[in-house]
Amino acid sequence: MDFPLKPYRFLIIDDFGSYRTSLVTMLTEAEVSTTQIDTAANGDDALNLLRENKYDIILCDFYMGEGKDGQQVLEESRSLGILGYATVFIMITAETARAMVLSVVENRPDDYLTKPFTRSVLSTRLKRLLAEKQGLEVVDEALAQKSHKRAIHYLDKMIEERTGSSYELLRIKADILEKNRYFDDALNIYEETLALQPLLWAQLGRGRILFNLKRYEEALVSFEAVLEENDAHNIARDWMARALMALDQGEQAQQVLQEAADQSPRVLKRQKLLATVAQQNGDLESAQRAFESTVRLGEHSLFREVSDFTGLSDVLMNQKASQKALSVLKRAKKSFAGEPSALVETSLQENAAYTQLGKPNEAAKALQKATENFEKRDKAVDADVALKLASKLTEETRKIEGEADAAKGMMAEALRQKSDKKREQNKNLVKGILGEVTQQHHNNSEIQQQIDTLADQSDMSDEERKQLNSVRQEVLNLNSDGVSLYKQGKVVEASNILFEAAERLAGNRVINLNAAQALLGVIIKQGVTQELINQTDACLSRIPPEDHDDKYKKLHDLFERFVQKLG
Amino acid sequence: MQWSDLVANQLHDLKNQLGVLMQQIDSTQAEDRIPLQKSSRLIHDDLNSLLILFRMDENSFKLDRMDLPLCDVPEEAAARHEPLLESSAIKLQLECDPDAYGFYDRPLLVSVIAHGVLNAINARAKTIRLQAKLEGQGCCFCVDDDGVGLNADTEQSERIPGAGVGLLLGKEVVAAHKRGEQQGELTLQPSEALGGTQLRLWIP
Repeated sequence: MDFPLKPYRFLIIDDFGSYRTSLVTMLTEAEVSTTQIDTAANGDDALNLLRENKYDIILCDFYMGEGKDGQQVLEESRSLGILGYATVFIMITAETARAMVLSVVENRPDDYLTKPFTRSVLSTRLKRLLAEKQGLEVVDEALAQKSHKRAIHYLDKMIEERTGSSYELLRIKADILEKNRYFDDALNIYEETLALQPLLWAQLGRGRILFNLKRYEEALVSFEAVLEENDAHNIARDWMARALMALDQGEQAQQVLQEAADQSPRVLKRQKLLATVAQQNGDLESAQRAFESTVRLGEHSLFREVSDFTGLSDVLMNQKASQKALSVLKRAKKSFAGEPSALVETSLQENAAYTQLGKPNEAAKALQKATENFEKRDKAVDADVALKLASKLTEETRKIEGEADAAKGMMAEALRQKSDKKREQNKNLVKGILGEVTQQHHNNSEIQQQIDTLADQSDMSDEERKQLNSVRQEVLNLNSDGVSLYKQGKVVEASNILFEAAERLAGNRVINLNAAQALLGVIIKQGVTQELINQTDACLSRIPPEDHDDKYKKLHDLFERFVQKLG
Repeated sequence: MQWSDLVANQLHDLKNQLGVLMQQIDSTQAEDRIPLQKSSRLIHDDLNSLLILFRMDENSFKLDRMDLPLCDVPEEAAARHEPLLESSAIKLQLECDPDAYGFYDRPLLVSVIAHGVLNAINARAKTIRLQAKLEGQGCCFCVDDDGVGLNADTEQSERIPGAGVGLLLGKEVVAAHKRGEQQGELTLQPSEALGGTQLRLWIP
């Protein structure tokens, strides 16, 4: 029954040297040459190896002392796109800590093995898993070329031809469809699978899709069905909470999440969700605890965000614990050093904390720092953070004006001069920020409204308002010029204008989508080149997944077809 | 640390050390290795039972069910005893539907089926058949053999020390698999297919 492991490439991830050695020995006894085996002593080394190489089989220990654990290695490598569907990922766990909680994670490994295991158990398990994964390399290749259509096409062919179980293939197909927001097609697979067997991944998938389609009540039925089968399935609880939130049942949502977090606390996303829900419910104590866990879990994680820290400091400030908030922000600054865009938010929070502590000088310094970070930004700052900065600067301007007006006597004139200078500076900054946000979100009415309000508050002159409007008008003109050229059949000219604008306005969805459309027009007219493909890809990649509407999908399908033609 | 934790850890260690010893025995080509292979497996099986009993007693016994292919159970149970089956020239038939999935605790069911295989070997079977299939609203695992059969009372009692415990435990483990009103069942009966004994597990 021994299954030949000879042709496969292995990666062994374990922090214990002796255990790595014993696994290598086990494999070499199965005639795997040592040149076919790579080893890593920690998660970071493993991710580096995965970036460089392709493996057939990964054996990864769950508990690895300091640093990332096995689950993080799995999640991060999948999210970085360096772990394909064709690779078998086996999580190795200690017998005393049984899979239990491990098995219900969003990203499940292909299988688990409990230490110690024999060569024959390993090869029995691998035999089935490799058979399930057989032929998936072409699917991974298609996905690497951003062609999910072709990936789906290959999968369909494999499903048709496979004589053994095709559940794994169906699961992967549904996964790809879901990620690309083809919700109806994914829902069909989940429901067809459920009609054959009540498999939990299909039931959970059905719930997720219904949630995304905003059919929350129906989604809840699916999540409840999962929990009825397996009470320990806390991922179902997370989703249930999301659906309850959408139905405005915040209290229940928090209760469900708390239960999940008590049973299985080591999940960053869950703690963050719990923190946010508790904060919304006004339960600051629970929010604080959950934010603290979020920060702790983010320590070695790719998924850590500055809002983990600022959320915590926010909750602390709401409890008047500003000093504590400041020490959290200090940690955040350390953790996000070298990322000025992220630091805008921490500086703004510091400003608020110092204000609460009655330390206006420190508060002013923090605001200054926020401005500096904004000017050094390494990527677009979120609109709400940028607008908050503008609003704080406006506030400061008013305060300085008030002080100058109130001042009397000898110092009054000097103070007034200083205030004029500062006011001028701040006004220019606010103008710059509002202009930038306008460019990136020219067609978002909610954001434009906030910008108008801020313009009012900062006493913008008519001239300045005109300038701001002209920024908006410029984007509108660029877009309409491009579109009308396109409609006249002048696709090259259209693409030139729009692509140049798209490069400059990376956050602008409309411009990027239209630029992609014009570039595809050029391809249709003049034939496909690598450069045109790269440019189209750049524009399409800048559209975030939640904005993948029908127009996006149509353009992406077309794009895929040309990629295939080229390659 | 509690005494009970200490005992559990000690049991784990014993089992793991025995595992290493078993591998060494299996890899020798000595003529008389069969009795050693057998008795080491019996002790391993007993230690495993003890550990599960211990967890039940401690109330730390929880099922870890996942949706997995049914084939995993017979294949892994067979893999565990493969060296012994080979050296004893016992024929093993594996019958399972690769498309069938179940929702079950794999390590526990594998140990119940592996225990069944060991019983069959001890009943001097020459052929053992392992099956896994969907049945009714659940799934079914069987071990059939052509050994001495259930009615060979005297022989059975001398066959396996502590056989009763293994079976009792198997019943508990299987019954712990519940769904709605239904719960798992374990039965022992004459094998229609092979003439010896059939161990049959059904879980909802």
